[in-house]
Amino acid sequence: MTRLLFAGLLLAGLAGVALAQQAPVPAPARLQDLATAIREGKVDVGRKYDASDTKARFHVIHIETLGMSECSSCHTGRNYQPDYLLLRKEERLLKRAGGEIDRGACLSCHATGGIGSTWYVGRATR
Amino acid sequence: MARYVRLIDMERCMGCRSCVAACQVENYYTPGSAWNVMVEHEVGTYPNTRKVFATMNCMHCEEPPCQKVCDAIGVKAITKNRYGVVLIDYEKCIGCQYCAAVCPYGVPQFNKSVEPLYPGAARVPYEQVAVADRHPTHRKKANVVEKCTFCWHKIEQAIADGKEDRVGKDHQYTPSCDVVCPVNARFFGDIDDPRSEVARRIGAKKATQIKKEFGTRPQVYYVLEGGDY
Repeated sequence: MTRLLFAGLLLAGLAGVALAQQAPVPAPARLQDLATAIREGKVDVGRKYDASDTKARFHVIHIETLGMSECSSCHTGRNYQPDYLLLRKEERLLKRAGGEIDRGACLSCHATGGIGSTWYVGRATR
Repeated sequence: MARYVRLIDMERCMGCRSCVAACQVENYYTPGSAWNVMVEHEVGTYPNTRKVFATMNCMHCEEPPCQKVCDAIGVKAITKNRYGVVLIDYEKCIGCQYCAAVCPYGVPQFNKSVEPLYPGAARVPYEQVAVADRHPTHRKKANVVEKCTFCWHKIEQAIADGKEDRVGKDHQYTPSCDVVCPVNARFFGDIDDPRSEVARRIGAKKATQIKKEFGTRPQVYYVLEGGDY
């Protein structure tokens, strides 16, 4: 019985070491590299600038290259959120968009220190 | 150098939309691309409910993400001038709508086509003004993005007349939306002038900017019910 337990522990330990050796590079680090490569032009994401065209750079970068393949990654699927300071009631951001976009989602990458280009300073008023 | 800001007092706004109408007439509105919209929000629990109104126009941010993204892709159609006004050059705009995508306030409006106000009917007076005779900010084009300019054509006139100190006081030098408010819910002027009404009211009423988490430092202040958050 003791031998069996020892063998089990040994196997579990070896399996743990093997898993640790095969563990993938942490996702954030890979995203960082990918984002840098996109900005440096090392990854082909097309040359057409059109946020409403799903085949142009904007969507290619976010969906195909960065893997945000779920529409709900950005689009809320609603026309209007009850937060009146967040979105306009009358208009959609883009005519063909699948629902409004909560720009709060953009902050995680595009604020100061994020992996994306810095569009938002990400600090309170001075 | 004046730094122009707007104050919108939501405790006073009653949602009449005079400012929306004034903006449309002043700035050659074309359907589908409003520069100033009224947003309504219901608060409370039935039966004790009421509506809160907020008008939304360009915030003319001190850190405008629209300009950053436009510069980053090399288009450089958006500028922020020394008076703090963010403007779009329609001749440079390529209609990519990146500015609309990054603006936290949903301000830039893509004008897919320039439609008349009443299709099939006579043009309204402002539509009859030849495009060439209009201020550059009013020369509407299809497939470009447009937005509120703080009525830059009026401020520009004040500068030309040497009347910068009258901006926010005289109607011909003040954005039309701020002129027409019947309940004194809107003020415009130089925030760096401590004697200006807008500066005094921002301080006295503890006005704040909205969505500060984006760090855009808007030049439009709101008096929110309950104060700052």
